[in-house]
Amino acid sequence: MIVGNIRIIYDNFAEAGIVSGGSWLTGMPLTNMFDQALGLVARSTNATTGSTQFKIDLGIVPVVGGVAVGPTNLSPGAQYRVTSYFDAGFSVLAYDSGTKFIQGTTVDSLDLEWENPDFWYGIDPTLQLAPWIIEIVPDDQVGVTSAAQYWKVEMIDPENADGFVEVGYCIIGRTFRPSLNYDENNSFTRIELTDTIEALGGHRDYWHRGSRRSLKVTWWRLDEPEGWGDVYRMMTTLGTHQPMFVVPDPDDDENLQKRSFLATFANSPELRLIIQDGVTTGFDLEEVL
Amino acid sequence: MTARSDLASFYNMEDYHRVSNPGGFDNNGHRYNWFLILQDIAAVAEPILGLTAQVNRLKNVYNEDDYDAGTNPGGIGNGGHLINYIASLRDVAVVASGLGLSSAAITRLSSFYTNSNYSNDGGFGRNGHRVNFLPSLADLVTCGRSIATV
Repeated sequence: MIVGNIRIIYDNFAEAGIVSGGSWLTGMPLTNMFDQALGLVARSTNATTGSTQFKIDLGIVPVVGGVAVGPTNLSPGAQYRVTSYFDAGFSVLAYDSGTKFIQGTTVDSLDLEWENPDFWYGIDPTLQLAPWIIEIVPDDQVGVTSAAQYWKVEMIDPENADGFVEVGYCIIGRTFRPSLNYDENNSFTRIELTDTIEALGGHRDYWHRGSRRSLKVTWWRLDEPEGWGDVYRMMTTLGTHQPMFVVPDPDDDENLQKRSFLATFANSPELRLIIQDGVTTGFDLEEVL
Repeated sequence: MTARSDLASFYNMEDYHRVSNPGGFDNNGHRYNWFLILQDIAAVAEPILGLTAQVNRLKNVYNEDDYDAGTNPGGIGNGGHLINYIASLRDVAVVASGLGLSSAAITRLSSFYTNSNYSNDGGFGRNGHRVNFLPSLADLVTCGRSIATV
């Protein structure tokens, strides 16, 4: 089992940017991607690759650590590409994710029959995922190719059964990249949004309204600069109302969609200075629905 | 990394991981590396054998896109693996033999693996792929390493 350290994309530089490109419905424009109401989506006019893409001018040259776009209606086995550019003409390429399958939307090929037309790429059309495009900039490119003002996201799904692509939210932000991964006393669960009425006889009626993912993680020790850097910045800029995108294990392709989600702090993190040159902290994260 | 060095040491049968082991074939690494290894074999073989029919298919015909009998007969997606995977193994075997190589792996690539229903043999049909797919990829990697020495 390969375990990658948690990554959290926060401080959404895209919110102040100028978005353009592709072909999107007038009544469901790209600017809908910056509304936390995920049901307020941007919808392309069709599913051609020329339409299902967008560009964004961030207006500044930040150090981008990650990009997350979703939830989407992209099909299992759909692909994406995230690029950045140093010029407004989008010609001087900086960062290039390459064209990738959206992680976590395919199955092990050997779970399929040899005669299955989708065997090679493990595409299971029955998967219902509403996947996110999740692109974490590799450590060695942060601040190098990712320090760019102009970004482009291409969603490649020309055979989408809906005939269009929808996007709920887009975050292009810096990333919290702790030097140590979170401690073993972590928990991931789903918080049920279910109202229950119990009659005098004990019979219960349920009103199930969905559920939200929850992740609790702690660090027994982080270096003080990390605590007073990223963690303090997150406390200050996010509060309990601004979203971030949590990727507990960027290397877990198979479960990436299950484990990663748009979140807010349930409570502002604490910084405890109980160790010389180190801080103790923890995050209580709840999914944005 | 050159084609020859990739054949010698990049491809392997460990779990594919895009960062730590991009040359791996296990854990669905075939999706990323099948096309690449064919390209590398063609790159090493062509200067020696010329653009034979087999080298041409490895270099110019087999590809990662969806199969279409008319517009993309060499595609591996959309059922193209049923047409092109075994065929690509056989082309690799012919190329290896043409380079003067021989081994058990090359022999298997040339004739053992088939699309027929499995019957305690190299058949991929009727769940035979669960027995033979990974070994066929292992033979491909082994053959590639032999070709790297030519």
